[in-house]
Amino acid sequence: MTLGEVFRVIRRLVVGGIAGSLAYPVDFVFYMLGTIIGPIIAALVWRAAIAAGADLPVDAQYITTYFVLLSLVSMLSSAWLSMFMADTIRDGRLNVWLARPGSFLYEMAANNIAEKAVKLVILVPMIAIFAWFMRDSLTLGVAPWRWGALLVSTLMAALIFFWIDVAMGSLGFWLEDISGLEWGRSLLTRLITGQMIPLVLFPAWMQGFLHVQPFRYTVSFPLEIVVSNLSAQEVVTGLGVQALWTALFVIGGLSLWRRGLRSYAAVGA
Amino acid sequence: MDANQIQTSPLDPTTWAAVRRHARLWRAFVAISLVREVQFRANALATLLVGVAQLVVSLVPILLIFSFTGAVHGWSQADVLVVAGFQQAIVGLLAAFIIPNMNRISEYVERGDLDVLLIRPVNAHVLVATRWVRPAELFSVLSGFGLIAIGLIHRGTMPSAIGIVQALVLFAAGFVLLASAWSVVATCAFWTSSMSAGTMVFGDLMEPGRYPVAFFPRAIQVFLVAVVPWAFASTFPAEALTHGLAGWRWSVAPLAIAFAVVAVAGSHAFWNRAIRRYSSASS
Repeated sequence: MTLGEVFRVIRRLVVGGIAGSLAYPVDFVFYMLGTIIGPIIAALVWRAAIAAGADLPVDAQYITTYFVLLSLVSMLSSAWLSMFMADTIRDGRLNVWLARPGSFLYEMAANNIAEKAVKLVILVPMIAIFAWFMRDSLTLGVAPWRWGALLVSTLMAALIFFWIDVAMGSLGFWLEDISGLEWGRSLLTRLITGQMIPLVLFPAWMQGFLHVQPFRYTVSFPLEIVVSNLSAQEVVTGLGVQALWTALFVIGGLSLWRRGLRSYAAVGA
Repeated sequence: MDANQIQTSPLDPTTWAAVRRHARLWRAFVAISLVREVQFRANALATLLVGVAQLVVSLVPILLIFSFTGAVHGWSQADVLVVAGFQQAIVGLLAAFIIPNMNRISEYVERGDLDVLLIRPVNAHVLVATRWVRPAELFSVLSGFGLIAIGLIHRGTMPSAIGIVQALVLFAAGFVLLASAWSVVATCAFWTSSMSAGTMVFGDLMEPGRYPVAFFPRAIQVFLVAVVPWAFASTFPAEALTHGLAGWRWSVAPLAIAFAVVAVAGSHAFWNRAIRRYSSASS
């Protein structure tokens, strides 16, 4: 398939995916409520600590803006395909896709894009309400180039998570059950991506590791572009490092997927 | 026999006999669950490890907050560990006895499986709410109590006898209140067809229970007292153990019992209302 044909296939799958998602609007409202509840609670708790005189390395503006934007960035960068992929491989439903000219990964990518489009429409008003309540210490008036860099960084973050999920799901070619690994991954990523706590709040002795590890570039770094005082030079360097991690995860995920396909013995064949 | 009422019948000559029969039934459910848990020992071990790891991760924000300050709104790190311990224990109890059942209500309604449950000679609400038990989740209750002990040792004070009684009463009432609230959310499936996403959101609302309600603005405090009553389930029990509920606050325990009775009656009435509009998916 040519690149144009691939895009055309994905576009059609996205349209179908959006139509499918719209069949469950209430579920999506609940999912997005679930996405925003964590950041709201975290923001309130950390603001209470600051109000009680906690001497944090960042101020209330940083904390508030970070958590208001967190649900948006974490939703846009997230992927949820690994378990579904592993199940599809295990029970042989992958056979259907092997007989088609387009890859199963196109369907996974289209599902990711389609659901994010629906989620975005629901999540943005929720974030707007959250932001309105937190308006006393919200700082969104940063230079436009920072918003552009945030967008680029979030797109790369989405690619990193997508290909990590492809790699995890591809383990289904060799393992019966990946739920334990998946659970461990989700617990680890909650901690070191910045989804739970801004990385800057971790102790100084952890900062070196947290700064270089790839998961920083999935949630924390995109947010740092807007909420912290990173210079233009630091942002460009960070985007460069993020691009390298992205390339690494794309290559790693694709290699695992292709190796798995070669070793696949179809169930029911 | 009306499937929605515990009442006298040829099976149960008195209401007390009906209660005893349902208690025997629940005991049988627990026994079956224990047998299943023993069969899947690796899964039980995984549940234990997951519970411990989740507890450790959930404590990270508390440890970090108190690395920057000695107290927040009068609550020290040791006090907040006690609150988090009660939250962990309540979540363990909910995961063992309530969540496995509530998560299935949507399926019962969607697939019409409820038909089979409604024709049985037992109270349908009791059956739906208690059928499934996950004993392995009780490890979380133990780890919660362990955390409470760590908090109290870290604090360096022993709770008074009356404080312990108050804490236990509030803990039990808080569990009943949260279970009733969860039941109401799950029962909404009769109107929306599926409430699996709704019950998932209710799971996310377990998070604020880890912190004293004083950490939150007034509107959220009202929410945590009246809607998702973590105040009764974690904050007040911790306060009873660490400071004792003196003066007018003594009345919180009897008030919690009264709320729990009203909540059970309310969730049962809501179930009865829901079941009247059920028209079976399988027929």
